[in-house]
Amino acid sequence: MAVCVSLINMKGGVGKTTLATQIAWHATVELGKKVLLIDLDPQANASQSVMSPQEYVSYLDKNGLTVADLFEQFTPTTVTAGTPRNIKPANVIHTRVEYDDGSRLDLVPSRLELSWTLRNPTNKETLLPRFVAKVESQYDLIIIDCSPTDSILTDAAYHCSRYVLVPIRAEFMASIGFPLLEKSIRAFLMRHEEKMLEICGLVFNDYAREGKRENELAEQDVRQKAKQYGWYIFENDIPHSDSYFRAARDGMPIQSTKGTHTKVKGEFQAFADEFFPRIGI
Amino acid sequence: MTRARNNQFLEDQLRLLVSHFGHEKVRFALARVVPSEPAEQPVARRRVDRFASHGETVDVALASIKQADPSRYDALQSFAQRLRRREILLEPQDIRHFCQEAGIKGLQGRSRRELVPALLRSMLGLPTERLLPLIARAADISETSRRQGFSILTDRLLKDG
Repeated sequence: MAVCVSLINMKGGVGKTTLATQIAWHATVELGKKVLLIDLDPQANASQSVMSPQEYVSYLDKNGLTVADLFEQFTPTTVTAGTPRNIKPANVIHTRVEYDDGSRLDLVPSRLELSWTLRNPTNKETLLPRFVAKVESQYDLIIIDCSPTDSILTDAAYHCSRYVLVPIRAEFMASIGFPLLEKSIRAFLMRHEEKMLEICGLVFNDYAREGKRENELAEQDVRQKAKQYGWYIFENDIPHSDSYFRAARDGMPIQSTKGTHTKVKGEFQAFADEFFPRIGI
Repeated sequence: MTRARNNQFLEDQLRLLVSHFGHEKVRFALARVVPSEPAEQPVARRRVDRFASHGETVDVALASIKQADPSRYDALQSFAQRLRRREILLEPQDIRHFCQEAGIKGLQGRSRRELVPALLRSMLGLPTERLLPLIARAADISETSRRQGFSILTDRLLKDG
């Protein structure tokens, strides 16, 4: 049975997608796991990074199914296909890479039209968990990259997940999304008492290497709020490196990305060594 | 033993192995073989010879499939030649990228010179149905094509209006 982790922060621009893809790559390549990455952001950046922009565009041109189709499969009218229809799980999963040791990285791509789901969200939050329930036995880890909103999409991610990982940047208003996240999870758990969902930790992402006063103040604020909510903060930060941009562009794990400093690889490894045991991997 | 005689000896041994164990098992085993380095040579020469040895081992392994699977041999031989002429996968990063596509994990080496024989050895172990489409895609993997990624989706969305 797969462990499912959603990357959520109601504040945007904190590096959720970069971290989600790198965690997925690390679990596949370094730990030899079977991983499914679900792109639950209409901007579809994780899809473009993992598939490469060329392949992603080609996938769309061939009318490849995306997570948007999962949410709209029973909607009476849609521009992409006649509905209602039962989508076969295998048809929405794109295999990025499959290794001889059995490890693999699969992707459920997203597309801009996923934002339409937000306009008419009635009774759709259970469609993603239904899909995950059908495929989770094939994976060790499922990572969900969420958009920075509290919406039907976030609820769908909560339904699927055992853990929430919160990437944060040490910057002005870093903790702005915390109260919303806390309320959002609390409200969800009140509505679904049987559900096990917890924040596995907060990680400082894209952390400035030079200690700047503004960053330090933001960090203090985040630590104070996290303590208030009883949230764990990972001891290993992920400091800034331009190599993460290149890794995203090339669709590569940071460990194999050209020009990545050994120190940067070691920093991500240290975070991974702390993160995976916390989620039981 | 001279290098030519050494090669001949290895080829004979390989043919013997193929006839005894079958082509698939030998190919599988060869893909995992890491060639040993010459033991008693001066350090300065050793580096050069090691790379030469890598290439030769791959050539010998390739030759071993020539009779049993000529179409596979042709595809791999042509791929190897294009690699060595630097027509495809020009940078080490291109080779690493290609390995991601091919599902080849843990390729050893930093420079292109080290990576090319390692890649060819790994490809010997891939099933034919995976091998041919991969070879066809190799020409598309380059820094130029990766750079196109910046605008390709935007261009498509603009085209869609």
